[in-house]
Amino acid sequence: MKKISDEQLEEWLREMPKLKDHRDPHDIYENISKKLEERPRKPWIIPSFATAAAVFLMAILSFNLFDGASINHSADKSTQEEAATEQNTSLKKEESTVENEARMDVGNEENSTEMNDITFQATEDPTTAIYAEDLGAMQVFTLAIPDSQVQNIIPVSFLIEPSGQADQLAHIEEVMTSIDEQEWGLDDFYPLEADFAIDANNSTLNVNVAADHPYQNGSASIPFLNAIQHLLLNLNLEKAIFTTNETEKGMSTGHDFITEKVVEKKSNLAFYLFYPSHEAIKPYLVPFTESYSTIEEAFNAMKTNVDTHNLIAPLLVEQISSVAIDETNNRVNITLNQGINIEDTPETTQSIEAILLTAQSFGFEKVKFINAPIDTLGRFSLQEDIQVPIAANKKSID
Amino acid sequence: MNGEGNPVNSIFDELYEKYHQDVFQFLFYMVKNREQAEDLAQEVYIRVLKAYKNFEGKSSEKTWLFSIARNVAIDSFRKQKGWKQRIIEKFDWSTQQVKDMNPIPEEIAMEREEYQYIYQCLDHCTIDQRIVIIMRYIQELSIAETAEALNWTESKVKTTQHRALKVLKKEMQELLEKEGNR
Repeated sequence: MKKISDEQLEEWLREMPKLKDHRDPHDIYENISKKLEERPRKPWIIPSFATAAAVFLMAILSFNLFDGASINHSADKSTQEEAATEQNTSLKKEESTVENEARMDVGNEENSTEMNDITFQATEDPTTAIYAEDLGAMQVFTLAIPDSQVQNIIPVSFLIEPSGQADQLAHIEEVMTSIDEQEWGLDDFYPLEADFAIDANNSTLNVNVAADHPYQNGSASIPFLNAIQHLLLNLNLEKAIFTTNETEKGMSTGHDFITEKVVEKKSNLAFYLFYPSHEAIKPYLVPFTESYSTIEEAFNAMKTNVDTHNLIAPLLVEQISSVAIDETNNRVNITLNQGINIEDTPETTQSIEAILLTAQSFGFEKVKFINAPIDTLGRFSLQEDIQVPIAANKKSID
Repeated sequence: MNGEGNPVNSIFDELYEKYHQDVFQFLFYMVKNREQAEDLAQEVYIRVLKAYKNFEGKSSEKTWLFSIARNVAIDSFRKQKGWKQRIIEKFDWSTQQVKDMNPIPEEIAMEREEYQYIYQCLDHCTIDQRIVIIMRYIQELSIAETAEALNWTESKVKTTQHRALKVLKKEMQELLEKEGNR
């Protein structure tokens, strides 16, 4: 079989057949003017009804299509149940969207004719992080989860009820057991094959592993130690002490033997977008391993993808013309290039989050954008100070 | 078409005249489904018409339109992967069936096999790679225009293009060998 040359491939590509739209332009114009005139409506009501109806119909047509176990007895009964659950979930979704809308509407009202108020705007809040206003009475904790290639360590954050240290550890361990990382496009990493105990008097986390524990090579020990660091930070402890088989001091990590690790908070990191290969609606915002001495350096680095780690440069960073630090307000002032276009897409919102998380990693509290061509972007009001998030990559646990 | 003094209508006329088939073709090659491409082309107009007064002429009208088309396509992929799509997929007979809903378009099916293979192999590219391939070769945008439409550096366009060609070449080779052995 002869090899295809680059030239041959490029020639074929250039010759690819033209695909034309055969519709009458009048019809297209009719369709879009209808949409342009439509007032923004509650975006969930119709889809959820349609889904409920579709589920109902599909169930009647062929109930063995469901691969769930719930539809095994009487077709009639189970379809009703299914439709009812479906409606229930839609209602819940509706509630949460209304909440989201309320939040997003604050800034949107005055420029409702602007491009960013678009009827088909994604109904889901595209942000990924946890913000002060999401917190309520809850407490945040973060797990370090490797991606499916074990290239990046992704900080994934959860909201839990506040509790004492010991309860909190129990809670975290429960979460470690219950999460399905693969469903999130990440590596099946938790629960950790180790036992934990808190020694509050010495501000220590005792970590015990079995002699044949799975973290004995570099690629597995790095995420493990990272996970331990996150545990220390979550639990507000100073160090971890390792034992093997309960009695022997220390543990082997392949090329190394460690007895203890002091808590270390990595800071001054640059955040990128990471799209897991697995189906996921939102990207993860992931810090690259390198620390930078100034935030300008971090922003500069963020202009290019880290191709080796599949980390995507956030949008907008390339449009930063200058960065100034307002020390009194602990704020970063980011001046954007004049006359740029910002489109209200999920990726833009997430790119703003990457910038905010980077600022947070440098210890700043607020970010102010100068020269932003639009007033609001998702939940962010671009003409005002924006508070940095509390933690990256929010996930909920049911 | 008659503008009838309606500014929106006349902007539409002009954009339709100049770019419609290009934008439509870009979307069709992206989503591989005629109906969806038709819907998305309309979405592009809606976004463009709402934002037209903000268009500052910093980029060319053409690359601006392509940048919006690209965002519309990406948003549709993301929405598609949402819960609604998952439910729909679950209730379908098999994923095979879902795929069959996007057959090779007639325009390509009637042509030589290589084009059909390329059309199929595009699925093996990442979304960014696919965008670059379509913009560069099928829409014949220059490196500079592609960079402008994607808000990327030219070197990023070149790297992505290079990688995309590599993926396509590998997949094409495999497909041709498989077909050759039949």
